[in-house]
Amino acid sequence: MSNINHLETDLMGIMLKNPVIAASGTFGFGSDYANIIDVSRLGGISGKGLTLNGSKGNDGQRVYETPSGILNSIGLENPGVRHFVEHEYEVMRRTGAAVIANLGGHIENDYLEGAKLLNKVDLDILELNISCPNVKNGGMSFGMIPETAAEITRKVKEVSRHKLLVKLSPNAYDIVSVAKACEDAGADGISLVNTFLGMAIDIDKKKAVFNNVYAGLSGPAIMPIALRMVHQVSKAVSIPVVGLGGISNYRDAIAFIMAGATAVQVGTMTFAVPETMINIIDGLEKYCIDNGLENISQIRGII
Amino acid sequence: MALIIKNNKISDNIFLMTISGCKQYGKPGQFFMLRPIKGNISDPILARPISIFDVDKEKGNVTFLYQVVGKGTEILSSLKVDDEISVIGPLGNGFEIEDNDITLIGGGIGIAPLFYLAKEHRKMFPNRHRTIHLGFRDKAILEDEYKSICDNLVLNIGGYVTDDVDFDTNNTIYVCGPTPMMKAASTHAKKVNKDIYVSLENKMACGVGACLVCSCKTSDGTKKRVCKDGPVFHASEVFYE
Repeated sequence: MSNINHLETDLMGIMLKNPVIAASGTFGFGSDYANIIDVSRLGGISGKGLTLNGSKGNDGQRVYETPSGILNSIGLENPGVRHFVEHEYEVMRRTGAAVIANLGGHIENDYLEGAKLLNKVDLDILELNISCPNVKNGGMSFGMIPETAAEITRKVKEVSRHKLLVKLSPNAYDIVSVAKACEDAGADGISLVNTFLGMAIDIDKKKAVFNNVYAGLSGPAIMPIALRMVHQVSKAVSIPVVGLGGISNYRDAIAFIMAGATAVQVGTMTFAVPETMINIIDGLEKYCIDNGLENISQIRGII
Repeated sequence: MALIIKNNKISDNIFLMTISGCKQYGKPGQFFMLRPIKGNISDPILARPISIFDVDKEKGNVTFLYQVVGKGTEILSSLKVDDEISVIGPLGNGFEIEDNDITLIGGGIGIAPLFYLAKEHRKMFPNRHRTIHLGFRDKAILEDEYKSICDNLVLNIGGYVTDDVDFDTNNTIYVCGPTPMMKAASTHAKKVNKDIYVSLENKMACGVGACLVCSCKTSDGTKKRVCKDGPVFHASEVFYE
């Protein structure tokens, strides 16, 4: 079951041992799950979303469960880019999975200074988060329309020495146009989707569940929409696409790959079943053997 | 994966569940993330953090005392003997068990982790004295069980359990219950320059420190994760302004 070539994946010139990546915000910086699953088996880990100076995140309730999904309103709580460079990078590197730093921001300068600081460490990939729905200024606002998405992509690309994966918001008015604009601006790849903006109301207290009112929906509930968006974007761009949104087993992962994804990210389901990504890796391997595939990439984009 | 040995209702909405097959049992104050395996397991999706009530190392069993408060615990309460259940844990830091006389204060379902704490304390320091204060809104549960492992039990039904406690003491004090109760205990203790242990509760997603859903404010303005940095904190860390 460990013929690594079946799953070895070239993502933007970075070789991953398999196309399964822990999604940002669901896996810390890789060490929290180390006692529970074999983290070294993962293709990559996208670390908790960083901002230049760190953040305490949102007050109030931060999670609310919905049928087959969760709403979250963490608000980018993170220790800051400098802390990551000095303390967390090495920890992530020791996991044996590809190291992806996820960088968010409130204003343009946050992104640029953050990206410059991240040049100090040998990341495999820099994931540019222009899609966080849970911070009041910045985050998602950069990713809502093609013009701002392209501008921040171009500027970060200019100052960063890393491969740049731009993470898009499904809340954009036209995600395909945003993806194309990012490609034209120099993005090496696109990841999608971040969470869908949703809300919950406590009818007994007669108020919104979250202090921010709106929050981000993830989990199996969003998978068909995420799959459709990954399909559309994959057809429209020629750079690699990383698909995510509600993936809970190897069959979901294969659907994303058939829709055009080079790799997939898994988030919410890890909370429920920490072995989810390991099971997906094993399932992909078996699928390749059962279907006579030399490499999983042979089914990429066949739909 | 673990197997349910027992899952009995002992009072209104309160259940005792015993499981076997945990690889590690954990120490007092730690918890497990529990999630059913069969049936509709995507609503709700997340596992439920439940603190350890008791451990029987000879039989290899872990017991949980839990209250049905929503959909997730409702499903847990419907599980039958021999049903399989997914367990992650033990998780969290647990209580420091000190070589000292101790005062335990529990409110409502917050009494759960204090049973194993008192039992382990009695095993480690049999000559020390254990006083326990249990507070309930309507009626007491498991009074005899708690009495059997403590030297002195004080019951409070319908009032403020913290009013019965002498905080001006050399005893080590441990508190678990609703947040307002723990805050009241902290305020009483601070007045006599005493620090106490509190075991916090918060909604969680991962339970292992990765998702930051359960972050709580600390006295120095930083945030800590209830699941991994806690759930046990010094009151001075989380409740003092």
